[in-house]
Amino acid sequence: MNSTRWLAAVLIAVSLLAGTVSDTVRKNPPLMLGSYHVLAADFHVHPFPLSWSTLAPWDLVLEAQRQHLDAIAITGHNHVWVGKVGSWFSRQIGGPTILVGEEIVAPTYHLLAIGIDHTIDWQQPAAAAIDEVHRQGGVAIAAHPLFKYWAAFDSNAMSKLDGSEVLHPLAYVRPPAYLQFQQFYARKRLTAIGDSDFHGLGPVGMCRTFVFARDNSPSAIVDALRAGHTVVYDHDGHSYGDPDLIGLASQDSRFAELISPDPPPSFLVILSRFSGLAGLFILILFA
Amino acid sequence: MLHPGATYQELARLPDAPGKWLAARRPFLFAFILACTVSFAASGRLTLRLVIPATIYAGIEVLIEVVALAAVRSKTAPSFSHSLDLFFAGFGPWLLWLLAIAAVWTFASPVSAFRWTGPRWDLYIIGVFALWSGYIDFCFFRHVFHATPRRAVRNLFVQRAISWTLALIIFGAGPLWPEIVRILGI
Repeated sequence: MNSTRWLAAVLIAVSLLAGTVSDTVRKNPPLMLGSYHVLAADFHVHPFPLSWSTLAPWDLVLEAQRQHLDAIAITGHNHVWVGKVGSWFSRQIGGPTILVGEEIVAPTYHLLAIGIDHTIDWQQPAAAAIDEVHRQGGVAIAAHPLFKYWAAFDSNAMSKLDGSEVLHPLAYVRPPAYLQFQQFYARKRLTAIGDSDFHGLGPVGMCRTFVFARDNSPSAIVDALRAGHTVVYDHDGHSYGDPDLIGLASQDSRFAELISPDPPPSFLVILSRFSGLAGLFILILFA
Repeated sequence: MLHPGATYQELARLPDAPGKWLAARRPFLFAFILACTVSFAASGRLTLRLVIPATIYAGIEVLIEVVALAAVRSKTAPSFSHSLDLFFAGFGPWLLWLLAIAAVWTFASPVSAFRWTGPRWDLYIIGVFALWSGYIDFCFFRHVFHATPRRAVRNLFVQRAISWTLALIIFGAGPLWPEIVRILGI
């Protein structure tokens, strides 16, 4: 091996060592407000394979732990079996609560089905799909409801819909999209949801929902979603959700800690970043 | 990467030295760099927790490429291990693209990274890299498989059709059919 390859190998090894040592789990301290457990959740997390994501369900469980999420819904595109694998794995390791779900991707709408047991046919109108979600004991959430999907949510579908993603990474990238999410959310009283629509890029839980539930079981979380017991905050501090819960949360400093931004990266993380990227750069271009 | 024709002409003249290590080293490097990108993009660092499993998943993509290359291999080609080594040597544009993705998601805030790698930019940039990579592989088929220009173009399209179709199915089959229905309006 020539000296350039050695240099690349050493830099990558240092990066792996620093990155692995610094890769620790941050768990939220249990927080009770009123009679509710407050849980940080992300209900739109895509797994590998079949759903344009890079992380398998067990990786998602570990990554959710690292991002101090109390619950996630693993939502395959038009299938639920990968979510079931993630749920089983998390139970084995005592990880976060995993809700089995799917993103029903239809030509005219995208709908999150959370807390269901088997795959729902995408070849049906939104209202019929929502009925099926409810028959299985789940909740139906409009996924990134951009204007182009609105027509599919007719008055019948809207009367049955439980919630909508009022916050999604697109909101930060395309202001008109955020406006459309807000307008859709305002169509009726819907459960406010903030989701990351995770496909492998960026942190899980970049946008998240704070659920006020009686406990951290999947059924309690689904009940809380059905009852509209959620609060969502964007980066500018705008809040959505149940006004009473927003008020309750604003009076408690522990909740402020929960929504505060992550601390700056540690020395080991910075070392892993610079060393790893430099090593890969040398490996690709010079070795 | 910049002069693939001349480079492949030169590499094709090297003695054919079949061997398992020769067949594995560049495909493994591609899988490893893909896995490093996954780790950087999801967690902002290189961690064995993500790099090891992601290398295994990336191995699926490598296998797809190997199957697609085997499907267009000609009788005039060198040994399969040597062919694989030279074929994966042409993956430079994709490795650079992965490095850029890793750098953006590591150093930019998630919001900025989404902005810079959002849906539209993604398509344009992938388009440029796909064309660049396509030209490199065309040169590979011309000079390593000794194909005529017409045959090299055919090989390129068949190799891409097989590899991209399989990758689409394994990585994104879930929404595939509804998306086709939406695009075609059927």
